Amino acid sequence: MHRRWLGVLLGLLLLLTSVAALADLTVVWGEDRDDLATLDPRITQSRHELQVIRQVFDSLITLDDAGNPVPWLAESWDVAADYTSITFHLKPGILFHDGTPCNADAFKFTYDSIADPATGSQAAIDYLGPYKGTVVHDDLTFTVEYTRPYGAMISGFVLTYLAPVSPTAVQANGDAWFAENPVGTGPFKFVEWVRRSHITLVKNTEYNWAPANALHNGPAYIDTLGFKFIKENSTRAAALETGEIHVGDLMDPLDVMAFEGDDDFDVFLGRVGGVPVTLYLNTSRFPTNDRAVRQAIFHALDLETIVDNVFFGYLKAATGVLASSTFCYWPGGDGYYPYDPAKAEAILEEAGWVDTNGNGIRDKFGQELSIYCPIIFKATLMTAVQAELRKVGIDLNVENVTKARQDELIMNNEYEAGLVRWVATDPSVLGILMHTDNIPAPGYFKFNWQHYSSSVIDRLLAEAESATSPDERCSIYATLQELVYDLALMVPLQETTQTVVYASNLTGLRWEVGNYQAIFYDVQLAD
Amino acid sequence: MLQYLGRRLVGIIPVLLIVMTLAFAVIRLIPGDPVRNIIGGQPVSQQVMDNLRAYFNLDEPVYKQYFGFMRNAFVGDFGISYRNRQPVTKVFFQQLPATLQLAAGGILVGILVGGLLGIVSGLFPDSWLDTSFMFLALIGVSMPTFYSAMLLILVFSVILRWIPVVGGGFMGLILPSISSGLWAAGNLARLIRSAILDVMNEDYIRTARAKGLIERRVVLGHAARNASIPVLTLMGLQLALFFGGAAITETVFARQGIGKLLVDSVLEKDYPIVQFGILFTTSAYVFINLAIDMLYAFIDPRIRYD
Repeated sequence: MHRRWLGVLLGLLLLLTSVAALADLTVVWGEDRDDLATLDPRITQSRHELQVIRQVFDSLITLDDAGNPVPWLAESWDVAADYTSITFHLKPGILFHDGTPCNADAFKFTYDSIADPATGSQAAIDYLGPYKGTVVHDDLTFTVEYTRPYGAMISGFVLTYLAPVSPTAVQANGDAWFAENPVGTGPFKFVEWVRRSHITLVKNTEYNWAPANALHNGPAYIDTLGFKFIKENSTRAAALETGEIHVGDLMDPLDVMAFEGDDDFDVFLGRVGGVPVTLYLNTSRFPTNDRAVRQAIFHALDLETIVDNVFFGYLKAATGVLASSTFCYWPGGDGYYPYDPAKAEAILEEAGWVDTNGNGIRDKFGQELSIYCPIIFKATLMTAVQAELRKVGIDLNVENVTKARQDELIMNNEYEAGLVRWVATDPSVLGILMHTDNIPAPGYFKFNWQHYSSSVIDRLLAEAESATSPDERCSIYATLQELVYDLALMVPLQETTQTVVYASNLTGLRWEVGNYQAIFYDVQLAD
Repeated sequence: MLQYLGRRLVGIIPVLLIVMTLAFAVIRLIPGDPVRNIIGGQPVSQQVMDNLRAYFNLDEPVYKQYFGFMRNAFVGDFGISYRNRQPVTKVFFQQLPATLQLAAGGILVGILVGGLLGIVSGLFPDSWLDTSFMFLALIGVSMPTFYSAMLLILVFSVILRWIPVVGGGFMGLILPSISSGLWAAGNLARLIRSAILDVMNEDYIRTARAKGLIERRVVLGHAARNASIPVLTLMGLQLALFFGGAAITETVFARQGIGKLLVDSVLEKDYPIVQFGILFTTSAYVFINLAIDMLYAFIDPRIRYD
């Protein structure tokens, strides 16, 4: 009898608390991935995890809308003239969510632990660069030192990866605990993470160290920020429609179209920085070793029409090795090889590619102009590309494979073309795709899929990394981009786009420059 | 009886050992590098790769990994997930309650709906009720889960607004239970109908009627009990199937569950999770089958295990 009454009481209590929770201002983000692995910025490499981590952790510096660095946790910073160190001056009074001070020692701890192989960092360690160590001068001043000149240091410190973690929390509970119970300095505090279901954050009432480009200072406006994992596109759209979530991430273009005509919803399209969806052509194998073939592919594709048709006008054709929103994007790629199928055919004829057996595919030396292209995404786009190339006598043999199979084909050099895209804010991403050291080999999965080894490209990449002014860097990267365009090592197809739909009564949503991750700090919800 | 049970339990041990070995081997035969999958295609230095390989003991020879796995499994340590870096059992049992809830919901829908349709159809064969119920059962077995799930969301959540799309608790369990229980319901309805038709023609039913029992007692006391043996077998298999998770239902309704966990872990080559998942679902099959075999003896006293 006793127990039954206890149950009723508990039920009532639960009802009351859920009513109370409703009264709070809650915003829920519908996330398209449900298998987040860690919320530790030092360990993550996933943009889906960063979307949550960004709200809980702050960076030293951030970028304003024009891409210029502005203060956040750091009041100011001085880069050494020879680019071998950087000294930060922190804002006073910054606290972690566990109440401990975020001082110079905390940064030293964070960076030292990222550099420690035992931590198993998946991305932060690379963005930390050639790290030598951190020297603490006083509570608010420290210097990060490098083993060699490192021109791209600022672009690392604006990223969430290098955000400070609470040393007390990590040391007391260990990395595995911290991955599930992140403690940062951000505008939202971590509450709970129900794996494969949702994450709940609440506002940090102590917060008064907002970045210089935020719309306000002090605590966030909303009380609770939820992340609900909804993998299925149509379910995410349904939940948005019923108001169970307020923001839907990575919406299907068809759903975007439906929401666009609805006054209750707004659509945001963010052109993501980095490397667009690009077809990389293997120069070490027949027939893509022929520059004429590679250039003909460019001329044969009416990309604007293809991308427009396939994605209902929501996505944009790519016009460069780098996405158009990336720092140091070289605009010369736009129109470098204009759409001209007649020219494509002329180039192929001149290079000796003729259809001798009348099967519609050109051939040379008795071998067909057939290009094997294993892919793991963008099947619809690639079908359209395949159809266009067929018109000029090129057979693009697209096969949908698993990630594991693709990696195996790439490492064993058993492909003529492959599809790559990269989300990044800095042009240094080109090194990953262009440097001779990054040619894949058995056992080594790397990203120079064009298998192009060039001492000129390697030298340009090295010069760009140690360049001492932004203008100098960009001029080196421009030379590089023009060079690879001329060689036609790859065909950029479509710009990666963040397609977000959100309730129109939600205001103040800001987007991080480059990767277009949502920042909820300034968000308000009207009735 | 007890002796038989003991023999069966001892027989389970080699089955599980073989399954563990197979699970260990098969997941490693699928091409691909788990460390590559942890990185998720991001550009990283060789140093990062080497660090991770050492972190997960993937730099050890395979035979060492195998004996390590078997030895640790014996004391209940199934290692840490490559992706989450959390203990495998913790990762797995976090997802299990949602799977058990859905299993209960799905089986309940299956028994209630399938039982009703099957018994009515069996008692009134070739009536218009029978024809329409069997048509419904056919829809149940043939409609793909993802389709029925989306239809349910469209009707009950988006149009009628009765039930949240992705809500938790009891309300959140209603649509997924219907969606995943439909198949079981269709199957059960068809099986129960034919079982009842068979039984109703048996001599003991005629005897029961002849001794003057009312029809309700004939059906519930004699027909239902005898018809329940094949039904029980199917329900056991169905339940074991639910224990393996329902990846599609979980995906469409954005639910937790071990179905999606296992599918993702296979794709991501998270060896420790896959190994434990296979061991767990195999055990579920083995023990549910054993339980059903035991139940036979209670339902039909003629069945004896010696």
